[in-house]
Amino acid sequence: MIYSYKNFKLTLNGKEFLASSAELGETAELTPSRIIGKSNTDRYAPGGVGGSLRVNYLLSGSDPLKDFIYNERTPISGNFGGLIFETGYLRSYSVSIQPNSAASVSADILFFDDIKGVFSPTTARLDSGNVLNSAWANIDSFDYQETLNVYSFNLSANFDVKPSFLIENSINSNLPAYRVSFGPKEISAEIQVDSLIGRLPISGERGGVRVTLNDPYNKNNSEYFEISGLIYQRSFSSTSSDVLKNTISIRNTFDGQRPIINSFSPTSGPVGTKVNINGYGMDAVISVSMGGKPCQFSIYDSSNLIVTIPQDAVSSKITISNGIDSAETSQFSVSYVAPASITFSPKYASQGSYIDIEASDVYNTTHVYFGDETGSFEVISPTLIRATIPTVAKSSRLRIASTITQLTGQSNEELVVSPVITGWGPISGIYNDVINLYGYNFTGITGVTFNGVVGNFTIVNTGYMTVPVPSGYTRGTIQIVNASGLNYNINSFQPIAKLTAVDPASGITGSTLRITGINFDPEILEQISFLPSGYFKVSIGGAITGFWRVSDTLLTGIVPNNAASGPVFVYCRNGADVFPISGNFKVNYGGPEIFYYGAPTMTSGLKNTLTIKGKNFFNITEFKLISNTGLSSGSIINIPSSNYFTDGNGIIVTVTGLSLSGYQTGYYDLLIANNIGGIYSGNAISILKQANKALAKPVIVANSGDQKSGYRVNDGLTTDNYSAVSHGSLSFSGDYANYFDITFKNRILVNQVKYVRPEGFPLNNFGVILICPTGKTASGLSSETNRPTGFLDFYPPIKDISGVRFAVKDSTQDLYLNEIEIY
Amino acid sequence: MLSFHKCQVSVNGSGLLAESAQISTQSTLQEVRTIGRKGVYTQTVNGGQSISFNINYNIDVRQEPIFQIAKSLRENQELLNFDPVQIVIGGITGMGYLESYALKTAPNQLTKATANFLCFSEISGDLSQKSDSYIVSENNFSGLSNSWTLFISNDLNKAYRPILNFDYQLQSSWKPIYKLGSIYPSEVRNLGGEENAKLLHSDFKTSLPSGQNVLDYENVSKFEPTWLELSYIIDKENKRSISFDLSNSIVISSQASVQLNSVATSETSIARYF
Repeated sequence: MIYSYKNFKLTLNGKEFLASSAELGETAELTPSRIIGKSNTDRYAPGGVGGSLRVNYLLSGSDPLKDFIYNERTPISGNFGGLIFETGYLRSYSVSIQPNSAASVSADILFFDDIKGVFSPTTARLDSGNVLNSAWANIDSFDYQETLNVYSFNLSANFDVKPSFLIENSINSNLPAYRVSFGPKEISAEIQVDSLIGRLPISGERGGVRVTLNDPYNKNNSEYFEISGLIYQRSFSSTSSDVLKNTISIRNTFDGQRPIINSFSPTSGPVGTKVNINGYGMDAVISVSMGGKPCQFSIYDSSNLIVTIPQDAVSSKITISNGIDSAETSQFSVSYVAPASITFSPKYASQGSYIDIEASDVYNTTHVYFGDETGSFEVISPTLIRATIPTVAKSSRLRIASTITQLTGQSNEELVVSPVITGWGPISGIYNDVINLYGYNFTGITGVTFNGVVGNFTIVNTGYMTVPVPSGYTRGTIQIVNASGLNYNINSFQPIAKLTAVDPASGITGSTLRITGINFDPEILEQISFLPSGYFKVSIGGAITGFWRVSDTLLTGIVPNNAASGPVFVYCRNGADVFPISGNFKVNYGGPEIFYYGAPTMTSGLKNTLTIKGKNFFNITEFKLISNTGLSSGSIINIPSSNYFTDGNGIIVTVTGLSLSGYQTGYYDLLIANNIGGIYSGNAISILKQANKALAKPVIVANSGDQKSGYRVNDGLTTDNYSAVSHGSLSFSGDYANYFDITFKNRILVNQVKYVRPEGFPLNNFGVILICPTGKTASGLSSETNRPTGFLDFYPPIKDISGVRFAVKDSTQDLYLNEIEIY
Repeated sequence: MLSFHKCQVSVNGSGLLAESAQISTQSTLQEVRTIGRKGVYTQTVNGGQSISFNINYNIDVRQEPIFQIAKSLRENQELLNFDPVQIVIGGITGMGYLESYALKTAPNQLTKATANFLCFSEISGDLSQKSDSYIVSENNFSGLSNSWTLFISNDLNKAYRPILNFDYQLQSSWKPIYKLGSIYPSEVRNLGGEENAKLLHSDFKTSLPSGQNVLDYENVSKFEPTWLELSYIIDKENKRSISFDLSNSIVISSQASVQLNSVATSETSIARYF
């Protein structure tokens, strides 16, 4: 009878699988015993008996042999159509996963016992199902520098399995091997990838690939294969009829199975919970952590691990590692307990110091609250926290909170910390002035001092208190102290002096004045710099002077000449706080006095400015210039009030914008009068019309042209009025052909030229004088007719010329001039 | 039911004067059996699915989209990637790669083309009428080409030897690259191709055993079959055409045959690879 493949049921360890081919063989090891002279023999020395099963199969779910790759010492039993072996071991195993194909496995199992049983054919039908196909595979690459695209995956494992037989059993019976020893094994994979990199260090390069095969319809029915270790070989190949292929070869660096977690239980619980992790490779685990924190654990077997949730655990994944590879669970939810029985020491402490807090279950503490403020802290143990009191802490109960557990615990007692002042004012004052203090922890305040001077206080609420300034020298620190001796200091209280009255309330400059007030302390008042010690700075109507300190309540001094009616100030030594309280003093001033007048020249036709310094320039009733020279003597120029200003202190009067066009050159007296005691006439001053504002004087140094007799140059012409005068007579012919040039040094601006004819000279002989800049001809800038004396004004002044030319229009006339003045 | 005149046949949006078109899909499945049991467990995927679009049509040299694709294939082998082209037959759309392109010219007959595209991705659509916006080429007859306007040698000169029939075919080889975990290829690479042509002569000429260049064999300076539009027979100026330069082709076979009631002919095959 011949049977087909349908009649040989094949199982491994009692499980059926989709075997596409199988080959079972058994061999008795016989060693021929030969003798010389004979070519054959019928004598054989028997060895052991053993066999092998070679099988190829497809996967429809879990691989029946994959676990034996990592547990090669576990025997495999097989049943091949009723023929049974019981102690088989994996000698080789390979799985081939190609694109769009079912994963196929080839395995070779050695057994060292005799085959038992009798062949018994079957005729069972095959139920339908699905096989695992790479078309529905998931690929993960890990431990590599880049993500790999995988085009094929071939994993193989080879084992060195050797039997040992007992002497008496192996020869005379078919007993199985007494012992099976295992040599080194090798698990490796060849993977076709798209990484076109030729890098291969001498030490190899880490890399790993996991292929998870999925049933296209039943997602739970899956199997995975992975390799994790060192890439020891790369190969690139191509043919003219195919694309370039890059294959990497990886050899497992760990002879066990990479830890794989299938499940864990329970998935939640308090700290201390024992969690069972089920999967593969558990017996090789050397460390377990949870959220980065190490966990105690014990290995139950290769598939189970017991982990204890640590005290400081937070809800997170549990990670197991064999030192090379690792795996992790999904999140384990820790059931937390709120901190309780919270006590602390010391009970009183200053901000910035630390306290020790004892409580239960504080490992996951994320915040320690002092009132509403959080402080830095360190968890010393599951029951002890050392926390630093923040600088802004208030006296309050302590709270321990965790954003991880969302739980909070609070102490029954209140921690008392120092009072703190966050704001205060005013920062200066006199005795009994009320200073407001703002802050917190004002409860239990027992004392307040100003620079050590004890003061009274009133606590309005825990964040506000009022303190009157005590009597005494209070400049410096304000300190508040509470019952526990804790204190808080604020610096730089500035006591001030207060002026209460000036006596008399009015007087003339030079009279004695008494200033009465409070806190006229040498430590408070500002010493005047230009007077001996004991004199302090006082301001009367803006005039600074020094007053003698008679007592803490009295200063005396002289009203200075430059004093004006106005407020009286006593200066405190700290600059900014110089004007605490003011009183007023009225200066009874006298008539105007002139000490000084600057730039005593005014220019006719220009907008003049004149500054006069003196005193009592108040309520000016008259301000005039009175000519005292020449023909215009006695003429008066009234300076209207719109043209002068005083500085408010009666010290300076400034004349601006005054035009004197039309007035004669000469000397004037200055008269200023006010409404006090008649008109005061100051020293007569000369205000002259001047050629210009040049600093240099005009000097006649030469004449040219048709000089006539009688002319002379007087080089001592200068006067204080900045004029240049030529004395003497000169004459020259007219008709423009004859002219007379005057050259000026210093290229001044010429405002006016004055000439004087000789006395008794006939006027009709004088003709018309034309004056023009030197070098110009007939048309002069100005002209004069028959006058004994003339003033030729140039407005604006002649600029940029070197001189003035005189010429007579009528050529029949001669010009005679006795005197020429240049202004 | 969809009548032929309502079917759209286009390549890259250009309509074709199609006489017939086919779409075929073929899945490669492996039956799974096991030792010890009767029956089949399942049939599972064993390789990629092959989908082909085949079109037979009269060429219109004024608008011949597949010629441009074929020309790009044979002339641009330095390209790393060739983009798939869109083929639409009766509303069913696929993105495919030109596997073969053939032109057949017989005396006094229109030149007919056959193109076959391979698709490696999902095709979409249902058999449906062409859209209103679809406009098939409606040139007059002059866009067509037939044996009168096929010239083998350069400069539109007649071949030295009379040619009774001329068939041209281009074939391209494509390699889909599949990643594990994917039914469809992640990319498709071109591995080259070949061109061959068959010439039917009324005389017979043997070729050298070491292979003989078609130029020597046909005694022409250039072997570049050129299909001109029909209007060339009326107006010989500035006519559009399609052509393939086969000057580097090698004669690979020649065969003479004599049959009853027929003239003796010989068929010469030339080939060129790219």
